[in-house]
Amino acid sequence: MSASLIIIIVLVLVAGGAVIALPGKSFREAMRISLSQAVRVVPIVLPAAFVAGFLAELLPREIVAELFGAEGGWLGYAIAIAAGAILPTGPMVVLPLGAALLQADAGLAPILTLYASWTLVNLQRLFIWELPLVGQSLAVRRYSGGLLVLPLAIASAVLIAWLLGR
Amino acid sequence: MAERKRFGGHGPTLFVWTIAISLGLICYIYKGEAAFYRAFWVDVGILETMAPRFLLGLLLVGFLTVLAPREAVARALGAGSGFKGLAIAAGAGALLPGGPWVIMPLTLAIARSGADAGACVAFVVAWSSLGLNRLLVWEMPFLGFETAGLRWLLAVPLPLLAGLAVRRWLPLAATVKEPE
Repeated sequence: MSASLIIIIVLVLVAGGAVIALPGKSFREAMRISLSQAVRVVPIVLPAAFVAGFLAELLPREIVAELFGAEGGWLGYAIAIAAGAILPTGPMVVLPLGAALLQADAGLAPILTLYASWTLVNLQRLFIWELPLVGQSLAVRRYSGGLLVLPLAIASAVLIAWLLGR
Repeated sequence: MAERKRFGGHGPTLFVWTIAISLGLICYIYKGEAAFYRAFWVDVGILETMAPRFLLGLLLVGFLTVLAPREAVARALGAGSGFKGLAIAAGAGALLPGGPWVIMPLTLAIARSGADAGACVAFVVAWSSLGLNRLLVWEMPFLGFETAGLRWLLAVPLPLLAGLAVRRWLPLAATVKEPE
């Protein structure tokens, strides 16, 4: 069993135990909230899982790697930002891709830029997860916040590459 | 919210189904049957990983909403909670494991319990850029200890700045209403 699953199980047991043990906290009310959430989000989450694999299949690593290629300078960063924005959500695609590109002599700064873009302004996360699940008002604010701090993250990427001499 | 009204409130659901089915069709037509089934079984694997975490996450949403007194959450994470509120939200986001299927329902729960948009943004940005689980399981093995560690350290201000910016320029106190 993975660490993340164990942590979630522990959190659920502690929180559930607290609801049962504490006076004035209704277990039935908690279940009602969970169920109403489930009814709303299960039909969204089910197809969302299928988007990830199909998108990964349609965006083959070779093409993304080719786009980077030996392109340097500003174009390389622009491609890195765009790639980070359109790559599928989920570390199982972006991190192996980043590692493969580094192996293929891509610069560390553009790869960290790609990763920063993926963490902050990924479009699949916005359209498939955030907009449907938390609603427009919150999702738009989250994305704007990500866009605003993206330049800082890119500056960090350049700084890290310089510090490590890569 | 306006988007709940369209398609009898099923707009987001229809949207995601449409994307999933379209991508599946494109995959089948352009990449062939073998590629389609390969991607399909990858998706089933993703679903298998995600389902137990997602269901536990939903239980957590109910428990936390009942446990957290609205006034206390509003004090700790509301519009008036200051930098400390953003730091608490960011800390929670960095510590919580799980994909968007766990984090998004939790974001909804803290928003409904009185957190403002700034705190919600700090929470989600911290999860996506500072998540400790991803740092240890994915970033360090693939990027190397030094690079991943430095990246993480330099990313620490990001959720706080994103939260501050949203509070300053796009404030929103009462974020999400109870779904009908």
